[in-house]
Amino acid sequence: MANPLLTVEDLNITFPGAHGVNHAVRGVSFTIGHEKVGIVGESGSGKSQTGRAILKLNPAFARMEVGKLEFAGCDLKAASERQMRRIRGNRISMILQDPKFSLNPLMRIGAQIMEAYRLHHRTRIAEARQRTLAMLEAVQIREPERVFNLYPHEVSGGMGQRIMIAMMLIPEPELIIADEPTSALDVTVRRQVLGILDDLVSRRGTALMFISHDLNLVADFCDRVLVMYAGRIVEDLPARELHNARHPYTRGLLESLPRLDRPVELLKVPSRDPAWRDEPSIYRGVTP
Amino acid sequence: MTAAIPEVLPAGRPQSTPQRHLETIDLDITFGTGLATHHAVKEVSFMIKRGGAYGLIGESGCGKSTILRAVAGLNADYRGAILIGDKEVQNKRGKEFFRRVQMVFQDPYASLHPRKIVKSVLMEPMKIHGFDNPEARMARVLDEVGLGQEFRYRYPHELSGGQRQRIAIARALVIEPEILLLDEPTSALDVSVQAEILNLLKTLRRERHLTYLMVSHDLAVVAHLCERIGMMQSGRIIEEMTDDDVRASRASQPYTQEFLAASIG
Ligand SMILES: Nc1ncnc2c1ncn2[C@@H]1O[C@H](COP(=O)(O)OP(=O)(O)OP(=O)(O)O)[C@@H](O)[C@H]1O
Ligand SMILES: Nc1ncnc2c1ncn2[C@@H]1O[C@H](COP(=O)(O)OP(=O)(O)OP(=O)(O)O)[C@@H](O)[C@H]1O
Ligand SMILES: [Mg+2]
Ligand SMILES: [Mg+2]
Repeated sequence: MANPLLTVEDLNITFPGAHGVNHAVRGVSFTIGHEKVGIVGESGSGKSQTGRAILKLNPAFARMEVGKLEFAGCDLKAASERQMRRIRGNRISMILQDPKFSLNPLMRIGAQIMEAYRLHHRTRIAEARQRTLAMLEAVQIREPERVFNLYPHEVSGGMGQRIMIAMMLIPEPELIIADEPTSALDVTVRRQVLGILDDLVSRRGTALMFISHDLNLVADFCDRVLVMYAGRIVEDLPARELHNARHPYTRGLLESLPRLDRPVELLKVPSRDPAWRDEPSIYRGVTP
Repeated sequence: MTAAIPEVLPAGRPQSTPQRHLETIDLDITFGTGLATHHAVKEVSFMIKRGGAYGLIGESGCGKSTILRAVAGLNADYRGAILIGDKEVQNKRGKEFFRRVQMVFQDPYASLHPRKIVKSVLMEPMKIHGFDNPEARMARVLDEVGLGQEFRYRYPHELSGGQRQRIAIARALVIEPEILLLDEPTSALDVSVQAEILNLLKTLRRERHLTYLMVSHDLAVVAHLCERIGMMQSGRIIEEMTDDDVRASRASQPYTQEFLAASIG
């Protein structure tokens, strides 16, 4: 890609532990332009840690090493914690995998969104309130007035996710890292929420890193897909080609899905080969 | 406040169905008071046979988790009746109930104690309910959910989302309950682990005759595991279907038809 928005080269993350070092991300490289990039792969393969590394949000005791980490001409690798704080939530937003964790449990939903809104827009309270209600409505919350006054533990799982999404979109960031943003949503609501993200990408040229284990969703919604296995990217391909993926791991993931049109007693569990960890990745169907 | 328990079961319903394992009768739940009142669950009745699996589907906020929490004994403030076997359970449950009925939560982040390593998470319920051979049981259950023995010493924050959910499932299974309440058990899991967990749930159901009440927004998952499926809309079950009905998009209510069509895409 001529001028990627984000460049990550040779990213490594390790966790020292009493029972040995856990090498969670192993030499991952990729770029993201003004596009929707899906990241799929099994649980523990390093998707969230890779997403967090871009904002340097890995746990303090994790060791991160990276060859190059560049965002819109900024060298994030060299950026100080203070510079990173300015980037986070302004130019790059992250929707975390654990929605309720990232909401303040002691503050009503409406007050939290209003606070976030006023941090980015100089407005009067009455207007912030109107905007907040409109935002809740935009993410398909049915009774925005009621939900405005609820505490985080009083909203359903899917409502929590949508509230997080509404908050992340407030600053109109250039890059959104969304970690399983729709896993608790039913299909109709999910489609509407994705529509909002899609609109932002096409209207404002926002880039989207979309972490998900939903292969069908990623194939449908994203432009490109990176497949992770054991801390590595094993395959990088256009999203519409996902169902013709070449890597045996990607194929295994696809075949393990339950299907409405094909009832089976037991599902196929993908087999894993440790050798995949050290092989070069398949790029657009081509093995280098 | 605890709602009154009806002395007599509502007329017109059998007092006892031999194979009934879990039943709710006119379950009704309201949150808040005054203007903030929200009637979340409305007269919900369903019955699951021993060894059966019942799925609840419906859009976000329609009351699915609220039903599971009431059945699990986590919210005593309900009206109507919940029956396990032939007995109505009290709104406030005893210890024996929690050995027989276990719940796996929608949000694996909130459901594990942050300061407890996996080993304590798994050992504690066995201690409370007086199980023998806890070490061996722990080793087996970790195996069953596809995690290695080295995971015993990890804290929740050292686990990925899917690994946490597997620990939550292991914690529920380790005391060998008869009824499992599963709230989106695989929505935080990638498809390969989902396949393993669904296979495990199917096998356990066959071998141990477990009964499941499950919530999922993934119709393929619900149809794979459940043979009866209740369609919910704003707190009510408006229609019941078989898995074959769902697979073929056979429904009589327009709302259900729309929901199925939209979900299949
Ligand atoms: N705080 C931590 N301490 C130690 N190990 C950790 C920590 N956080 C994550 N890990 C490990 O890093 C690896 C990658 O985790 P990550 O959260 O990136 O997985 P993931 O691909 O997002 O999985 P999931 O789909 O389950 O969310 C896992 O093996 C996990 O156990
Ligand atoms: N403790 C509470 N206080 C007030 N309202 C509540 C409380 N718990 C749940 N509710 C409300 O009850 C309704 C149903 O919530 P529930 O969690 O059962 O939804 P759900 O069907 O599981 O949705 P999802 O698919 O998003 O998880 C929601 O409108 C929610 O705001
Ligand atoms: Mg993750
Ligand atoms: Mg729920």
